[in-house]
Amino acid sequence: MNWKLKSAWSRGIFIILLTNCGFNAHSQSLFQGHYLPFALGFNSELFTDDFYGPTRYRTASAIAQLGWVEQQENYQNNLYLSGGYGLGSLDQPTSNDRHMQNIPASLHYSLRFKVAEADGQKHTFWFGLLNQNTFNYRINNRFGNSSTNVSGLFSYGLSGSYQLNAEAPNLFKKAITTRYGLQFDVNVPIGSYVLRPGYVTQMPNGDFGLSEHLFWGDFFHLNFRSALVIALSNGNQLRLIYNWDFVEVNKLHLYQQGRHQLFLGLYTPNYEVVQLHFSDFYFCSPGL
Amino acid sequence: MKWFNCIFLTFIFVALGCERGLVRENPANTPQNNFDILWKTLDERYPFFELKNLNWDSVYQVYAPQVTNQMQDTALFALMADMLFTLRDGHVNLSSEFDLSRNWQWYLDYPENFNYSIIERNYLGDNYKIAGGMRYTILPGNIGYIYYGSFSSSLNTDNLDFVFTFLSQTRGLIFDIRNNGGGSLNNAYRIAERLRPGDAKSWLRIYKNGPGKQDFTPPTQLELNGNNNLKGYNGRVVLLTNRKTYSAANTLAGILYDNPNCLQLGDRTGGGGGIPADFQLPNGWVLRFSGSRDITNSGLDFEQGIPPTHPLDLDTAALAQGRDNLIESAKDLF
Repeated sequence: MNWKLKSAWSRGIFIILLTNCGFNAHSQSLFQGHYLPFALGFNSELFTDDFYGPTRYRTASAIAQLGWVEQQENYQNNLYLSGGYGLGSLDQPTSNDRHMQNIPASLHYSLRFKVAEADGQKHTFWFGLLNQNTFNYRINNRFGNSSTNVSGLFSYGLSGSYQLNAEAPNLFKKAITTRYGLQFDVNVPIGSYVLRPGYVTQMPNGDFGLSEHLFWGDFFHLNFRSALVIALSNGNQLRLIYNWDFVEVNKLHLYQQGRHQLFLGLYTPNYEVVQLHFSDFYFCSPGL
Repeated sequence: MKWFNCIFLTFIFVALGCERGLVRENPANTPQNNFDILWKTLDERYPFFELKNLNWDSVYQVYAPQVTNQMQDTALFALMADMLFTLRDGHVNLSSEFDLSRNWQWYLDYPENFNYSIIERNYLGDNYKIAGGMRYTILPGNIGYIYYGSFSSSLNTDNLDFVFTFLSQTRGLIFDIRNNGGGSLNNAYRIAERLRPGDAKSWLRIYKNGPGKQDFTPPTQLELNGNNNLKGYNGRVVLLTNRKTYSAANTLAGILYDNPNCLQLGDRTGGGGGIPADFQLPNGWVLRFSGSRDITNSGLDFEQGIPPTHPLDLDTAALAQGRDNLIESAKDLF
């Protein structure tokens, strides 16, 4: 092969993928159980918003994520809430002035059911419903009167997931187990309630300029999420998560945003919750 | 599962770089393109072409041929500034790292009609009070006087309660907003609520909502709190204005325009009736422009300036004697 993987990160993922696929499945899925995730990461956005101007902006933000993840034999619940803060500038080679403040946030909830499995539980496929919300509050410090800008997409749609349970050589004998996992999600919203600035001002007459329910055509939203799961000896999990999100709204003004997020997360099993059935959890006592 | 590896790897590599393909390319950062985008932005978003009887296409025909891609930034800026000058709008500016374009003829072409030194020395005196940016006192003859030079000052409910309680027993109020270039619209609204608080004060506002010249939102009737319980001024009010009464101060005059108990004395206000918005050009320069229109119920657009009910210029002879004849004439209206 003549081609090369240039970045260390992509080389790493490539090696992990190749090694994972050669190992045997464990009797129980690595993903099963209740987990409380906490992750820190980096958020990079490239967006264009005709409300601001025709030129793209690039922002970089620090970001944190919390959530709740539950997976049982045949279904899984995923709730992730993330938010951060960062700065940005015009996406021009000559522009170094970081005059854009950015507060990105997102909320993801999905309920998926197992639809197929192969090779025991080594490969499992899930499909279900999705609520994917993307929100940005931005301030252009060079602007005087219309410096603030809120863009929010509160979307619903379909969600699919693939999970790989595998084992690999243990390089860190005591700290981690030999169990690894890989999860790959595709989230496809089909409708969205969109909040956007007005044609010339953020909130004409005290209300959002655009607050409408839109379907594909006027909006487009796609989200991918992949995670490498490493089981630690103490029951926790480390997850390296990569999230990619693209949003387009073509109403009043064109708005397009591509978002990359890379997280390193610690997933702590919630043993108290694990002991309860899902329906018990719904009627949980205050002591839980 | 090699097929899956292929798909996954494809996804990783595509996702890492594909947003550059999905998010629209930057327009070329050339003088010609910056000029065209500036013109087109105003063509689609500026609300006053019809009111000002301005043919924006003709303006393009005059200025566009002068643009070349070999122009220096300063020359391009000067050309753009000249084009923006034709809009005759103090809310239209182009800001770069080296200059701010402006049209300030809305007051430079007219008499100043204001001398703060005379007001401070001969009317406010030594014992005037200051609250929320308002300088106020009671003039001889039991007439309340407030000078409010900027709506950028912080102004809260306690300030307003105190000021209007202090002046409540006077037999008339002179509210002087000459040389007030504006600031927070909320300050204008809060003050308007306190002047004749029982009287209805309403006006119309429309926003541009599309690229067509007639693309506006339906008119919204804006109405201020007609709450009699507010501590406000119930007597007659005389507003003093000059050409440098602009933007939010102009809005205050516009809100009170249809009120028979609020008189306006002095010169027409300077205008600035549109709420400004901003836009960034590919070269980073920021355009500010008006994005809305405020209109009185009787059909007067705030952008044209609010005409006084009692037109009067400052008398230089009286000024030489230390008297402001606008204040003196206002006293006669109570």
